Amino acid sequence: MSSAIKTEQLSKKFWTVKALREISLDVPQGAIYALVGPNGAGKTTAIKVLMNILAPSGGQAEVLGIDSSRLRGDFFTQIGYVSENQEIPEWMRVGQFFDYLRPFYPNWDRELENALLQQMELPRDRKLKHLSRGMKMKAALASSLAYRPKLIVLDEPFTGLDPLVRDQLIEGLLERASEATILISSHDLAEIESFSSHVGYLEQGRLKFSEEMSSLASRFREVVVTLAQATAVPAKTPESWLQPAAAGATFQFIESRFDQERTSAAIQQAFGPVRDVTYAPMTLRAIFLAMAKSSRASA
Amino acid sequence: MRQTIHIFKKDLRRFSWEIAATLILLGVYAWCQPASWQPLDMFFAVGGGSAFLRYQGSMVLGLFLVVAWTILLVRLVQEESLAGDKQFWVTRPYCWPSLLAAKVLFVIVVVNLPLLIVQLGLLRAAGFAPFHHPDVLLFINLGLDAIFLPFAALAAISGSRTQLTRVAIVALILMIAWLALGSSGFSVSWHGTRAWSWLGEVILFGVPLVVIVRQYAWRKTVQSRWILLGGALALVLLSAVEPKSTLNEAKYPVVSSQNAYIQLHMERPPESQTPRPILTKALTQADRYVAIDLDLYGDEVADGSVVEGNAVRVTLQAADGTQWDSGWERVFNVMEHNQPGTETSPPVRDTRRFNALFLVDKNFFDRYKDAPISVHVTAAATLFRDHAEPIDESEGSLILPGIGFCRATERPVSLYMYTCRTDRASIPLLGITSRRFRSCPASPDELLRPPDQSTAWTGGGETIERLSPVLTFTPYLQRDETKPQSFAPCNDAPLLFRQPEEVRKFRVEKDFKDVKLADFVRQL
Repeated sequence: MSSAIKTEQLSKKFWTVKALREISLDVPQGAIYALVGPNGAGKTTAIKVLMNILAPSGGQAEVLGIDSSRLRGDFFTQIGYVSENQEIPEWMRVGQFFDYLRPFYPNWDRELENALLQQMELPRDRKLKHLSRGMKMKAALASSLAYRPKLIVLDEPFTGLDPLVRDQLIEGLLERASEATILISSHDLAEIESFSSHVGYLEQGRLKFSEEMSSLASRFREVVVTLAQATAVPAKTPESWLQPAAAGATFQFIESRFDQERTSAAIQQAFGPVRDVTYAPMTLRAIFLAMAKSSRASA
Repeated sequence: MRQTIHIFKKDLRRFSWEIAATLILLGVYAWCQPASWQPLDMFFAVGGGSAFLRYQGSMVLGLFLVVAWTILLVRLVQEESLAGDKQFWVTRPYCWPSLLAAKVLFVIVVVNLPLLIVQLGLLRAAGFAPFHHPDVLLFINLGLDAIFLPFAALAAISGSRTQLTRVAIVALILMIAWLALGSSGFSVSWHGTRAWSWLGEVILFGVPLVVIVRQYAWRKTVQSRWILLGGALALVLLSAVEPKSTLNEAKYPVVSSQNAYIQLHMERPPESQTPRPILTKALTQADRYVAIDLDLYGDEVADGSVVEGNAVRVTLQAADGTQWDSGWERVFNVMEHNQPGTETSPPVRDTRRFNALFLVDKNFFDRYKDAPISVHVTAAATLFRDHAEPIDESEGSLILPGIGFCRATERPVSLYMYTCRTDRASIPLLGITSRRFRSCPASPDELLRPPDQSTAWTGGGETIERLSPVLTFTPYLQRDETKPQSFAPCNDAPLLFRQPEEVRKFRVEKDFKDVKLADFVRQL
């Protein structure tokens, strides 16, 4: 499968602050790629570099086969970009905004535009500055979907939105998912988990992992080991065990490279015969928290 | 092109109120402007109550208009902000040449086109053929657009009003430094510094132009800010190192004093002479300098010739070899052949005056003020071949052929003022000569020897920044009212319109010995 977005050693510095550190990312065509990470991890910076809003300090990025630093003008007829802090021309009415944008896009689908406006309950005659934050996001998203872009890039689209608006946004997005690649950065892990096919985890400007959602879900397990007698955390545990903790005869940890046979063998090696072991699948939110906590602990 | 028009139409909608406001302001400006073509007292007499407002409007509305247009332009550029990372348009299929072209088109349609229409109307109202001098219209409009460039560049490197304010403060500080350094000499840069002036203008307008194009093409805001700051610092540096008080001496070859078209001599001023007012600059530097006026005169101008004094440079040398050089000082005097038997107003002595006012370092003055010193004077002047033709004054109105129209102030004062207007870019050397006789001459030959004559000379060829293509100037005729009332103009001897033709520029040098500076101090 070819890549919609591909970066090699992509870096971005703001004076002395390294916002991105040699990120190598691959977003396959047709994927719904979730870029997650704590605040200040570099998600927005990464997206802005990809969109040529910011120039990279090093490395390379390709978007739809084009060097991201050459991304301008007509290339954006194939890309829809929506950001939580984007400044839209608020003096325009919703209808004027769409009327204004339409001539820029040869592929603009008027029927789709009407459908999106209806679906997202956007009033054409209302000025953008009089819309709520959620409505503005919907207007921005609708205006980025109406020309059927090949790539949709969303930077924190759900922040601060109520669940109803969030659902409307996701619904609008998913209807386009079959014909586009979607890159989305968000804190809303529960929502992302429900529709993402791939996930990348950024932390302190570094891409900690980037893989298919199914692969991620299968390699993370919350493991609870019940022993015959009380125990402490062993002096040495495998690197893949995150947040090891002991309480009485129970020892628990998060396995970040789960393979039942290999994990069982490692437990056997650490504790000898055990009374019981349970392997519980984890939500993306739980994985994200575990990663963040263990990273802070090691720092 | 389609995208350019599309963005342009959006901008028209966006700034419709602001555009309407500037058009109203322009309309008021056009309504007020004719007030500046009339002598002030006559205008008030005819115009009544609104006349004062119209006259004031003609003075200040031009500035208001430029400020209003500049604010509109800054907002226009920031509508699609080029700095920052939050603007929606950068991830939309905007083509930068189309965006830039849309902004240029906006300036042409909203600023230049209405202004051009008003300019054509003003020319017509002033009695000129609207397209007689298209170069002047082009010059004024391009000049106005050039003034916008630095402001557009500031808007291009700032993403918000807050940023713009910060940038504007830095620009203001640099501009003050530039102006302060630029005027640190007694006289402003002139003639000899034309190359420096060009360099300054290239930086002032060229750097912003480069920054604007770069920003639209690449949005490299940090680099653009450095370029603009570099340009501003270069201007400040240029002002600091630019030679002051210089003259393009190559344009003024030296002629020997025997063959000079004018002979210089110095006269000690009469004791009773009323102290002349001192230039503001001299007053502000009174603790460091002393104003000296050498009472220099130019004689022996050939019949049929006119000499215009352009600049003077004075070098003082004390007996111990200490020197003081004034540098070149710009002057404007017109000296002509004195017809035997003709009195002039003001008196002949004053009409031959070649101003040599300069500042001497106070220490030098205190040390040598009473000692005889040597003075070396170099005067730069232009020789003209006189050309005069009679013109009629009809009910206070004059037509200056090839130049324009004048209205005379109808009041019997010793300063007889004409308010004139022209559609030319600048005013060449020209004069209006009034001749008065005891009794009107019987033959044309006698007309050439009027017993009393005075000439209002004006010109200098300088252009000023303006919006109106109608340039006004006010020659003054000085008439000595103490003369016998029997002197009067004759119907057969109307006013003379003098438009001398330039022959050559030249420099003449003259040494004066045993001069006492204390005799020539211009009192404060």
